[in-house]
Amino acid sequence: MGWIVDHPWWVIVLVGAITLLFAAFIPGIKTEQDFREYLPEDDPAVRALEQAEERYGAQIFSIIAFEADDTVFKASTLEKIKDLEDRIAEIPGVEEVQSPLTAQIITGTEAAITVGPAAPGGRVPESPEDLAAYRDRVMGSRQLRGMFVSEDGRAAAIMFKLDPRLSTVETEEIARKVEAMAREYEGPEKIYLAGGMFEALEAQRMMMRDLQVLLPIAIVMVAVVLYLSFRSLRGVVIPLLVVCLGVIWTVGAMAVAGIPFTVISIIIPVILLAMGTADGIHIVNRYYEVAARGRPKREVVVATMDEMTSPVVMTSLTTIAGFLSLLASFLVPQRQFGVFTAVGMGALLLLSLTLVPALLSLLRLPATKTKEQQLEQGLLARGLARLGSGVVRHRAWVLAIAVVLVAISLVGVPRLRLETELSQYIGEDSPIAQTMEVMDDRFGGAMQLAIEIDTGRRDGLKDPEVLAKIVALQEYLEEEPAISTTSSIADMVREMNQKFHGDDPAYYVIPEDGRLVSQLLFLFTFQGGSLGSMALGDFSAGEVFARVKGIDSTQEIEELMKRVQAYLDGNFNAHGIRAQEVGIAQVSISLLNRLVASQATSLGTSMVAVWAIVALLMRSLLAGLISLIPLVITVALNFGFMAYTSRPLDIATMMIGSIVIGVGIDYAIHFQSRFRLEYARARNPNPAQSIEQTMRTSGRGIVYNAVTVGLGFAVLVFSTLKGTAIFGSLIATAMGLSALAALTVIPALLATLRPQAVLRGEGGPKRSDQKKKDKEKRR
Amino acid sequence: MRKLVRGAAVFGACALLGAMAIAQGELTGNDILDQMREKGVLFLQGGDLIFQARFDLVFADGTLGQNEFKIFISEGDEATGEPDRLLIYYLAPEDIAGTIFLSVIPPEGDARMWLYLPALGLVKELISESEQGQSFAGTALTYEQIGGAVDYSADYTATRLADSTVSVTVDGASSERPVYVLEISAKPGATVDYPKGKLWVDVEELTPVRSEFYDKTGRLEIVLEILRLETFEDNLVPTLLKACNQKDKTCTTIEVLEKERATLPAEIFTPAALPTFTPEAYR
Repeated sequence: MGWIVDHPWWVIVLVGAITLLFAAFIPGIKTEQDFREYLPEDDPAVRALEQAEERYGAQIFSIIAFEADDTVFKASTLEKIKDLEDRIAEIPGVEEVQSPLTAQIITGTEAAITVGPAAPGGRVPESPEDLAAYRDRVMGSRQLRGMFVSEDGRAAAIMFKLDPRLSTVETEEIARKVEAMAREYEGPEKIYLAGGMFEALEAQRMMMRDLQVLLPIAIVMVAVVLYLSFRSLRGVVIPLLVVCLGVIWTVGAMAVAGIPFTVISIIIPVILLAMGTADGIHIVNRYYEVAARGRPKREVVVATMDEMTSPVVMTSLTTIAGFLSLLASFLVPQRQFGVFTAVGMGALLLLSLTLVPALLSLLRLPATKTKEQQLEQGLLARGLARLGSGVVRHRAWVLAIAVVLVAISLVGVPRLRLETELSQYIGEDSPIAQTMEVMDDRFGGAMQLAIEIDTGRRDGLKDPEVLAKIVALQEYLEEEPAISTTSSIADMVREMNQKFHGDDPAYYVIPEDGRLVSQLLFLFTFQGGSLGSMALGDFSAGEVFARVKGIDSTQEIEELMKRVQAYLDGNFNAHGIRAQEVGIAQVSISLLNRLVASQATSLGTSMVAVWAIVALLMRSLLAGLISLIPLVITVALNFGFMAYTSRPLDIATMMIGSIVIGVGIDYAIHFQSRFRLEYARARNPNPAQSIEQTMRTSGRGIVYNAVTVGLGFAVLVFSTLKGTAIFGSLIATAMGLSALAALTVIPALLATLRPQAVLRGEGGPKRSDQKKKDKEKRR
Repeated sequence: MRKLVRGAAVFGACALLGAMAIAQGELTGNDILDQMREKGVLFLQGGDLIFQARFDLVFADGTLGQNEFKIFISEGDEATGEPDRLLIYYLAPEDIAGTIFLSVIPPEGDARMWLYLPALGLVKELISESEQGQSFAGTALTYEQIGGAVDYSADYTATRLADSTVSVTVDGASSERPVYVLEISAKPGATVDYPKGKLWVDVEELTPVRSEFYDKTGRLEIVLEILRLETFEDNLVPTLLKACNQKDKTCTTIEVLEKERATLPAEIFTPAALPTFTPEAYR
């Protein structure tokens, strides 16, 4: 430490150089919003989706909807649709673009049959007569009405798929390109863009907007809190500089490691700002205290750091452990978030132990009368002291109330709503949510379920019995209120059969003769018809699609899928035909199911890790346990509150437990350490007095810390992402609760338990000391 | 519609007749395309044809398929207004065996097509909205991809690159065939699937032994190769071809199993005759 104080400029230059190096990498940081990327590659749902993509091509489609005031069957609107469709089709990586003009349609008369684009030649009809004939053709088609054109004829959709092998960056590039193109055609028609890639693009924009807005707000808020704490420039600048540099190092390290910003990791800078000031606050606080002793500057700085290194390292390590416990999570972004928040905390620790003393050694010593002396007798300290004595007097009540609150919370936990939908995380007010509404109203929903039917034998799908089962499945699906339309190879066979029989609706059935089925399908493909993913080339397997509307939560999708899977098990799997949902919905459900397991694992891991660290550092298993109790209470209350207020447990809010443990443990450590000190210092040790003095000193620090961290997190309430805003409000509340629990439950426990059991560790009186005291008393 | 006949007869259209003696002067790319077209016309004037072929298909999803059929071709006469006629009789797979496709292409005006489905015993006229983009005979390839080779001069202009050689099996033995290498570009206003391509045209047979077609973005999409040439009527004709779509990874291997000249009565090329048509009657 002496070297740092003697060579402050070396440290400053070195820190500056490292900062510039990391800053240079920051522009290269990427963003990632595809929830599929959040799951590990070996996840069964991800594997099933990838296998389906290998067999059937892209499973996710995007929609561009044109909404007109009157009708889309006008040359001007159709020209726009055609032009945009052609331009999208030319983008490399785009597959299967279809519109109401080019989607295939089957028409039949007594003598002839046609399979071709809905508009002759895929071109916009020119004359009013042709336009009217085209409208009748589209609105009379089972395949097109409600799918490509809304029932009222006021909206039309271009649908397209992307090559599933495209990278996230390539997909994002296409999304931007398509969006820019589509916007050129806006007015008087309204244009809506739906689909995962547009959702991801919107999420990315919101994330970057958040970063630009929230980070400055957080900086201002932290500066205000620091000023109110120290009322001096150095008290504001030094901790703030440390956290800003820490943020640059962390984000730069993410860029170097190729870790993208996700909806989770985007909040790392704000979290570091909120939590990272704590070390600086404690060091500057002690610096003022030591400076008041009237020693030379070098000695003041060295003494400050000597006294503060141990607690700063200890609290940083426990916080790092809390965040690293997220490594136990199966969710990739949570692991990344855990690791890089821990990296950030490590960077902040390093800067606190090097840059802070270097800067302090360059500044003149402050006035001898310190804020510390003023504040120790202040209103807050007096209030906390009274709280401490009140807690000791009514400790049984305090503990009983805590138990009751935890019990009430735990009763509510089963009602917790789980959520993995990106659209839900983005929020109802976003353009994406409005688009989803339009899609639900006009096109029977933008979400699609894909059910794979695999007969396991060549031409299995041509078997009339299998086709009849598929028809029955479609009828079952269409009875579900959330499912608007379905489509399958059975539709094509029925349609071809009807058209081949002079368009007689009586023939909209599956023929009994398998050869006729084969020949109708042959005719269909011979005429240029495409079955797409409805059937593999050898007709051994294919997909049945269902459009879903009005469902916006993963749990609702899961419930629907459970019913569907039960039907599939009973009517297909039990008869040797493999049937399962293989689309993106299954990935959402997998994410959902693993959230619960992950939550339990990460909470358990962080608790054990933190307990072990505290027990080791304080050399007392009981001290470790006492530290954990306020955290358990906070976590339980948080989940209970979420359950009773319908706040979802999502990929952000599920991290609250681990963060509460990582951050909240500091309060317990500070409180117990100080309590030990006060108890050991006392001539006649008395838990009540020691608690009162602890509340007056460390209690104040805990309150400052909690307010700073809580306000820092509270900044997230201003996020444009609904999920992040909820996370911000919950974690800010949890920080307050955690501090409150530390300042009430720990003293109640310390007053109830025999202090000797807690005080055997480091910093507390040794067993031999106690014996000496006993001997002295006897004398 | 003429592309249909040409497409169906790709292997024949490419070389069922022998090559004319070609003056080996400094031909331009367009000259070579013209000569290829003339050769195609000569082939169709050589008399009616019957050939049996098998298509081995690899679909985009990796599954396999196989079609086997007999094709009956009768060349029309523009002077008399006699139309070109084409009949495809499916032999395999079993569930579509007996299905017949008939096409009649008058010298002027639109072609007409019919399909006979034996399971129903019904003939239906097929009305096509667009020839382009349609798969040929149930394969993963379009008429344009298969048959377009016959009349490149109509839709493309060519630039001749440095000559080269291509390895092809000729009558059972591997042979390095001298080829013209042409870079082709669609003429303005031409309705083609591929704006650009590259042809390796056998100097002797004027048959493209390798063709590449590029999409609008310049990405390679189709590769068509002649793998085997066999002597027929004193000329070399392709009897094994492979066409692969590089984008969706589909492939079609076409093997000519039998080929023969015949005299085919015009009556068999009528919709009314389809339900009673038997291919064995014309051997």
